Amino acid sequence: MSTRRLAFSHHDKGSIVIEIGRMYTKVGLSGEPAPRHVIRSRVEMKPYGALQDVWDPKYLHREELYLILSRFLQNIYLKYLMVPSKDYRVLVVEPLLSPSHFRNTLARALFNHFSVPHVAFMPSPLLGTFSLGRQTALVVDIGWLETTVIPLYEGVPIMSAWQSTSCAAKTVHNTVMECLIETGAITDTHTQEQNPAGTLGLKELIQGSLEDIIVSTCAVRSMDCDRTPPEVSFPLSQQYTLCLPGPARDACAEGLFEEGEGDLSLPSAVLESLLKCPCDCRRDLSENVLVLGGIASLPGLNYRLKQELERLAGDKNERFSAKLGALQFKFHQPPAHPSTAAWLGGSIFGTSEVAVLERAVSKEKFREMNQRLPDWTSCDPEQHEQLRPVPTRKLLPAAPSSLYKSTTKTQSAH
Amino acid sequence: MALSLHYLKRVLYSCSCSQPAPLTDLYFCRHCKVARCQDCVSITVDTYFCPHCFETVPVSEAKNRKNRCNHCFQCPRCSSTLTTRSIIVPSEVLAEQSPKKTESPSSKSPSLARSPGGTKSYYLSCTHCKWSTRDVGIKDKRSPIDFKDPLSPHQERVSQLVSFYKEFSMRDQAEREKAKKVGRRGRSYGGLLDTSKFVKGASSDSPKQLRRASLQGTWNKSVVNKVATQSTDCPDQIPDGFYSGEPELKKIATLQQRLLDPAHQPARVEQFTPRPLHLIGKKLLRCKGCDHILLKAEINPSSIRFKIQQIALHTFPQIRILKPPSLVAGAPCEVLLSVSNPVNHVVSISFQQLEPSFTKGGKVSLAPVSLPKGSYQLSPNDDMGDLLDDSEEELEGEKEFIHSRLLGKLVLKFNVAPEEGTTGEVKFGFVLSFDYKSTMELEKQESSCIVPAPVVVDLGKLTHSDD
Ligand SMILES: [Zn+2]
Ligand SMILES: [Zn+2]
Ligand SMILES: [Zn+2]
Ligand SMILES: [Zn+2]
Repeated sequence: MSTRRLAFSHHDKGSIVIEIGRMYTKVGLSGEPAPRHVIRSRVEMKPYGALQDVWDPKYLHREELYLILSRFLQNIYLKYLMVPSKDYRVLVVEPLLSPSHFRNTLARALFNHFSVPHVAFMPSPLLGTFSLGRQTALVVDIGWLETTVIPLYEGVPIMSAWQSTSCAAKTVHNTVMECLIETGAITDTHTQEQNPAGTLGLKELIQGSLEDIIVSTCAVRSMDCDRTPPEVSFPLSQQYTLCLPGPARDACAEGLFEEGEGDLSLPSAVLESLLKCPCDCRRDLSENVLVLGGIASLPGLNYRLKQELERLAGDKNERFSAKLGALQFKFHQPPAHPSTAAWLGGSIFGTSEVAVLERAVSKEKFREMNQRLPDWTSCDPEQHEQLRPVPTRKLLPAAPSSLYKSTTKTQSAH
Repeated sequence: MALSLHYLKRVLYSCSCSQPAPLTDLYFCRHCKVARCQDCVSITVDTYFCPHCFETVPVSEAKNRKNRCNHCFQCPRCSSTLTTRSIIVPSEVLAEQSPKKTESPSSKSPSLARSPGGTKSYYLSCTHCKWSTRDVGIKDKRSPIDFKDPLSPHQERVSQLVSFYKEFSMRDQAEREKAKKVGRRGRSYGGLLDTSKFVKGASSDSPKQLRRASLQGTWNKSVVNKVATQSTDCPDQIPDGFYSGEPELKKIATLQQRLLDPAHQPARVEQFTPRPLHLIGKKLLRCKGCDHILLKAEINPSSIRFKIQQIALHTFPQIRILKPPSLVAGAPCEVLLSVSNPVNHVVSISFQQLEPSFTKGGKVSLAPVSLPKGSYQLSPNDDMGDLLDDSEEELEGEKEFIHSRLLGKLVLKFNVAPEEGTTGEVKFGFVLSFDYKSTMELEKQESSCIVPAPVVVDLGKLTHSDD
């Protein structure tokens, strides 16, 4: 579309902004401060009626994903947004590294099944900064299975300093679950009988309420805290009540701060990322930390992360102190619930038609490209694995490898 | 009916997009003359209405209201619909200092007290969980419409950011246009919206250059700084109460309750507000091949009838398994299928083997089958039919394959030979061809065409002869 036509543009309807998370999907219209709906990322599949997880690993790389996503989007368009799909461009908020089959299939469903005119894919850390009105931030995006740390300097992601760790929301769930199985007890309110929480059958009951248990009773202990929170009776159902021991309530995030086998802890991932940044960027980044994801709403998480970062960076025995010891860590509070901050960034970005269309693929282009998204929209994890061992030659932010490859190709052609 | 519903999943018709579906889930496009399933029709919302008060809301209005009803509200605690309660506040009572029946803060307000005969005021309450707007200190309103969805606490800040970025992108665009005219290569998007740099990798830029490139010349840095959020040196700590006493779980919102209101995500029950009820829509289905309407409901929200309803059930002969056959591997078994005529005129049908390519793509293996030969005529499915003529002899059909003939229905014999070693369900398939007479063209001239419908029948597991 020519810029000229855009300049004298019609009344712009805006974008539909959608973030399909592992657990929850956020949908809404651009320009609004919060998503209209936050729903579970799953869909009822007719004719058998079973609820199907959108991210089910079984279908993640198979053709059936098209059908699953089509049905899922159908529900979103008809039941939640209730707008004609062909009238709105779509802005997809996605993790920094999104599986290419998933995003391709999503694009295919949006273009073919819903006749969406334009689709843009944008990484959530980048969009997160739009909610702050600034372009420099060290973004810690805590997902369900993986946490990504990516520094953004003046709007440019420094890809060579990208870090990831499996210390993520699932770690918190697992920590609480383990803690409960070891020390929790379940009371049958009918018989007053008490059973350990690890008892078969009761465990599943806890699993079902785990999210609620964490949201309503847990917090992140600070490093210098010597108190223990009181225990809580949490009703799991009409019949069963869980006795939640005090230590489980503030130890829920401990797993994020422990170095795992061959895996970085959350603070180490942040510091590693800073180490890989050009040294004159570091201060700007460390003083602008933005934590994204539902887990970031746990009370005390940012405070503890700050403490851990300062301890680790200042520790003479650790590898960071020489270069990062003098840094201060400051945190941002986006004008949204932490779980919807990236979505909000998308909502703000999505209002600018020019900006979105510049990033977007059109329906026609997609057809020309043989139903595959062009390389430049992708940030394929597999390609990144190849990029990782490349030493940081200069202080430059590296391009996604797809580009890196194409430039070398053109060079050799010359 | 219950029995036939059970069998419906056993007989799957193949849609024109080759997806299997029960006949009840298929539509029939009279223009393309093919079956369409829910994945090859385009569905849009036709009319918007409130599921509680049945008010029909015009499209533009629905958009303005963010698809929510003005009068009806949902309980923030249990999600059921709230009831509007009204009370009459007599003015004399108000004048006194402590009225007995009206403890709500609003009833003491002077504006209400002024009216002479007494004032009606409203509050909302839940008949299911007993929550009420008075529980959270929301004042009674003069009109039920006055219960508005409160703005997001971040509304102002977000509007500021939106207009900032919008203005920015417009300036940037204007600048690029200018650059283009002069003939210089337009520098793409300065900084803030420059996601293209994400692609290009800004390979040779040092941070200082980056800084310069992104901001200067496009916009004054101070403008940018004014809108930017400031970071804090001291992030929030755990609230004091966390260690001092057991939390009152009854006062803490569940995750589901929080997500019901994504803009506020109330953490505690005191923050609950009534949620305006979400509208629902009547769907309009169009054929993806020709854009003709396949399904359109009547506009009246309380009506469940359709203005246009082109479903396959009205056109396709319906196949049912008469009774579950006994299946033995390696032996031919007789399977009785009934074929019923949905229309009130004679329909000819015939059967063909499925093309081998049909099963190639899928993982379904089909048992060999011998089909009824020749073509058959189904008598009209018409209550008056049997009274008017008794012309059964005239109807076509090979006697040896016909088990019985009923009004508008034919029971036919199929011979299925399940293969040795079949472990799962025994399935067999065929193409059912029928002549479709277009009712639109019927008035002008008799025009008909043959519509083929691939069908796969699931007979269930093998019966073990050993038992
Ligand atoms: Zn279909
Ligand atoms: Zn209503
Ligand atoms: Zn209620
Ligand atoms: Zn058609």
